[in-house]
Amino acid sequence: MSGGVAAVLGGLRTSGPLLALLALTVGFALADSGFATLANLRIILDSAAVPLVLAVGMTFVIRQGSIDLSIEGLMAACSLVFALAVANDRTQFDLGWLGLPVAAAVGAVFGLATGLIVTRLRVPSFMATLGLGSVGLGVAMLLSGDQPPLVRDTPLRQWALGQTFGVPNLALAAAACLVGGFFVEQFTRLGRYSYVVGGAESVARVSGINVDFYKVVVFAFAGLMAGLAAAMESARLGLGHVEIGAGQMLGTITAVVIGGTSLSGGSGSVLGSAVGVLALTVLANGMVFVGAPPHLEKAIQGAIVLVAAVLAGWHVRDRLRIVK
Amino acid sequence: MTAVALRAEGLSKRFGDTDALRDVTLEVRPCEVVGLVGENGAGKSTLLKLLAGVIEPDVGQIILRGAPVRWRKVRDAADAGIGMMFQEPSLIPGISVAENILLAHEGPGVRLGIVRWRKLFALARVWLVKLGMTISPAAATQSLSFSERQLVAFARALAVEARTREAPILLLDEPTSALDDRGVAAVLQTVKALRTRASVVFVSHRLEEILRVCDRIYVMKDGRCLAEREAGTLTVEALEQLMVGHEISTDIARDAARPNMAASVCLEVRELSRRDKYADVSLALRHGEVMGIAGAAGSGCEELCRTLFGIDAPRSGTMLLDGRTVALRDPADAVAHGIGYVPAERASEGIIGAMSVAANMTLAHLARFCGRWAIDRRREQDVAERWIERLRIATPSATTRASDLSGGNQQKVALAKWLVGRQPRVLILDHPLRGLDVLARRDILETIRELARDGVGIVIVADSLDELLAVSDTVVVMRDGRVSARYSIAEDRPTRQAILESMV
Amino acid sequence: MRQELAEFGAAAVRLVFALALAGAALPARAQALCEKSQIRLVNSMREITQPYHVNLNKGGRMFARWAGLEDNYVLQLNQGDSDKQIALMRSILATNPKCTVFNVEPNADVVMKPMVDTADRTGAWIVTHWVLNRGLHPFEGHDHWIAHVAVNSQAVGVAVSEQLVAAMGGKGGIVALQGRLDTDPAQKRFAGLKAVLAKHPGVTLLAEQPANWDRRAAFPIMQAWLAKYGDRIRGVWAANDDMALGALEALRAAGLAGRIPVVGVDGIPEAIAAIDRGEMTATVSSDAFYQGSIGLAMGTCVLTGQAPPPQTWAKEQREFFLRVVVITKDNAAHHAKEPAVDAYAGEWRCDNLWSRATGPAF
Repeated sequence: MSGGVAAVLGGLRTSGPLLALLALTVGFALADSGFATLANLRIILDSAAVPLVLAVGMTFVIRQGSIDLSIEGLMAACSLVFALAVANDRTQFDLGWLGLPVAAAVGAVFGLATGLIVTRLRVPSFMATLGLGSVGLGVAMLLSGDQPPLVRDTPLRQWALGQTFGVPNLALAAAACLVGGFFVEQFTRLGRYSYVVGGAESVARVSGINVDFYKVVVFAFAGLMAGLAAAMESARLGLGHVEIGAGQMLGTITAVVIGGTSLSGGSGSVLGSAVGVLALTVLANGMVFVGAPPHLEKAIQGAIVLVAAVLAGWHVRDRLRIVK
Repeated sequence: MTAVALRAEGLSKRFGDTDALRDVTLEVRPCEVVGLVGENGAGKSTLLKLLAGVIEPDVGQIILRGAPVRWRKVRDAADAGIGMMFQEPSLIPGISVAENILLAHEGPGVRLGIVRWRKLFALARVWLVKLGMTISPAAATQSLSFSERQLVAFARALAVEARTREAPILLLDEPTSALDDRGVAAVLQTVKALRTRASVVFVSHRLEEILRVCDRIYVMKDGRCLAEREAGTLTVEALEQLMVGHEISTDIARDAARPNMAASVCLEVRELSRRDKYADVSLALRHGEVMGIAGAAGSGCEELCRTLFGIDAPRSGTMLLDGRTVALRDPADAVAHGIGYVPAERASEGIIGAMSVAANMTLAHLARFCGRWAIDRRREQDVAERWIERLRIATPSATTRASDLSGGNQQKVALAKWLVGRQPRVLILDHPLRGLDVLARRDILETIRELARDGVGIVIVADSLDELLAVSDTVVVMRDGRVSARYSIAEDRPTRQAILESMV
Repeated sequence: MRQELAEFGAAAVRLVFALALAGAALPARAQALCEKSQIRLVNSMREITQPYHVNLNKGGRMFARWAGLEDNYVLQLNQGDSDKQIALMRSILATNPKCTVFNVEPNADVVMKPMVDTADRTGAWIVTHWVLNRGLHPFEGHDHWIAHVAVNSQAVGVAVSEQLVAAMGGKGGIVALQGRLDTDPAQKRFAGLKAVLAKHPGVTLLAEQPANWDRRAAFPIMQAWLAKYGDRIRGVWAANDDMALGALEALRAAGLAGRIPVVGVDGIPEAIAAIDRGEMTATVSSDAFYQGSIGLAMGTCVLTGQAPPPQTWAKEQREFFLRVVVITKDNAAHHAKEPAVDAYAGEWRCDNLWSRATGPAF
């Protein structure tokens, strides 16, 4: 095992996000007996699937020291493309399973565009992604027209709503993305270099790394994940919808930050983000179980972010550590 | 074999208003070590950066092995066998040593985009062994000391050898500046060994080292190549004379008047301990005394300095200022008690590059320069100009950005920061002479002695033993976190050898 | 002779009475306030991604085309932001305020007063829908607030809840997905549900939760409820069709689609199709096409002088309840068809603007 992997796992063990997740789970289980059942576990995994896929992509972007604010728009566009590409009530296309990679590809193209704008035109990533997100939203509205297209592809819908061996299919897909993301992060040159770019970009450049190339690849990857997530959600709900990504952006970034990835780049792992996603999903699910008003959820979410951030920085409470 | 490995012809480079290089022509022959010396700001680093492909020349040509080349990016130069070791730390902190050494050219360490860790470590180990380093290639770079990191950076430059079949050309910019004597020896030995199969351009302020290891030497001044000599024909004094244009007295004359041993103790520590860093350290510093602390990397001197300034609290022990016990909460507390600190990493911790010289100087005691509503700029300017003159800081004006000054002058500004208010009680200087040329060193040492004469208690952790010996009244040697020896220079007259032995 | 005079007199009185009545029913011709080409029609609504709003817009456009004012039609979307809805109104009134007619679906109760005040101040004309603002009435000095077309949301809630209870046989537990609770429709519809439940003690409310009118929010909530209550859920109540459809998909994932009655409100095509298929039980429609157009029609009538200025109208002509339709399997097929202009043209006529009024709303 590489030193990196051991370090990541070791870090998680003593980490705040995992503690937060455990605390939430135990808390809700005590509050309502129906919470800690197999049926609800399945539902939690199902609810966590789409945010997890998004978080994998976002982790890479944040690790690299950039930010991606375009998910909602990208998801909207990819959702519409997906819904119109598979059997639906508006167009004649019927791509079936190909609809998933097509949606992912559309996301990747958007991500590629973002990457090029950031590296060639030297636009900061938060601006470039905000802009491209709006473009995606506009494209989605154009495609949506009067009515959101309804997905009529039965096998796809059954897949999205169904399970295999008791595990929701979408959760399996998300797990596959997580494993893939982890592998890339720890064992490939892309993963290492994008981490290096996040930690010390100028040094990376001077060392001869083609920084721009890796940045573009990472943005394209995040776009790919957003497209896939959009397709999954559209298949589940049965329509291509402009609002399909609403609220996901802040939720994804929150999950990634809770999971231990610093917003300034050069740290973090997809495993941590996965823990963050689970924590937030458990929170939302548990709130419904105990019947708590939804605005309380936001307040608790905020508290969790704070606690996780404090715990993450606890061991380096150096007096002179710079905190902005 | 061509007669010339690398030739720079008529290179010029301009940064904004300054001409960093003016029409420089220089040759490096195969299997030779070429030294490059000059004062701060002479253009040595710029020249190396041009040769390594970090920046592009405005005018001129680079001819490599007989053919003119133009580097578009660093990778091009590296692929052609030119490796550079930078003066500033150029390693990525968050990754392993092996990754740093092989960054951007992992070779068989990465197959099809997938990192093969074992292979990567094995490849890196080769270079570490060459430098006699025992650290593991899997070690986290940020856990290494400054000197270890410098050696890793050296290994990184060396590793370019694996990329080309031709004899590599290594550009080393101050490779020994942060190393202790043991590290320096290792580096010099490696450079000598390299001569058989590579060419080296060696930049350093340490003229004895240059003379020891180089075949030929170029002297630069104000962006030009002033002279070229065979190393065998030179002495240190002659070299200095070439550099500066006049002879400097290297005898850093020490004050005949010894420090008043009856003077009161301004700073005392008793059995100071900090887990894993140092233990049971006891010192007594008098007003007007200069105490040098010598120690190899890991001996605890730097950590001790940080504790004395309130950055890190000690686990146990007491600290007394003028007889009264204090427990410093943080650096602000230390400043309030009259303690000043000039840190080792000048560029990042000593000055604020983006601010003006005047603003830097007033930083530590800004309250004194505030009127009722705002900062009294006129007073700030006046005081700054006074100190610029007193410390002979070479700057166009008090409003110049600190980052535009050369290293030595930046150091003077960092020092002045603690002097502009009221006189400090204790001044802690961490490697104050690192990276400075001869003249600047002399200036700083002079200033230190002046301050001692004025009654300031000074603690120095210095680069080379010669300087410690030249300016200190007492030398305290630390090893493995404990005080291993104490010497009073006037009475004990310790030799360099004796001190070295206490260090290791 | 006296007999003839009496007959003549009676006939004369009848004639006068008939004329008077006709005069009351037929709006007297008034001065045209604007050149027809100057009239600007603005439809202000939340967004355009939900079918209800799509139909609001369609209705408005249909009217504009019918009236020959298609180029003067403007759509304003506030994306759920009350401040934005007000700001959009103010910004467009920088030009041509006196000939602009607003047909408003308020984002929240709080926007009513600012928008009405803006109209009064700038001389623009406004017709509002849905919200019942206590203390705020068009006929109390707001001469530019032409009318408020209220929907008796409580009656709507009652109607659709009765359908649900009936489909459940009066027994069992239900879960309720509420709309944004800071809006009058959300509160009133839920109150309607509560009223119906009070009359049917066999039905219990297991849980209620707001889901922002959005099927994406409804889906995980429904999933969680299925995990928590399992078999005890025998019916699903949703304050609008979009949430009902979200809950339906969650039921589908659990294999329960069509086995548990689901009701919603709005009458969007997708819901009507679901009702036809038997997966939903009922919905209530206020007819988005009508709501999206009637305000513009009223405004156009006033501006072209074909209707007298609002301050001369009767109170019940300025604040009235809109007739709603309960859609069940019986009439689903009929309502599934896309409406044609002819269906509405008659109701846009300036002498027939109150054809769907069911009574005063104050």
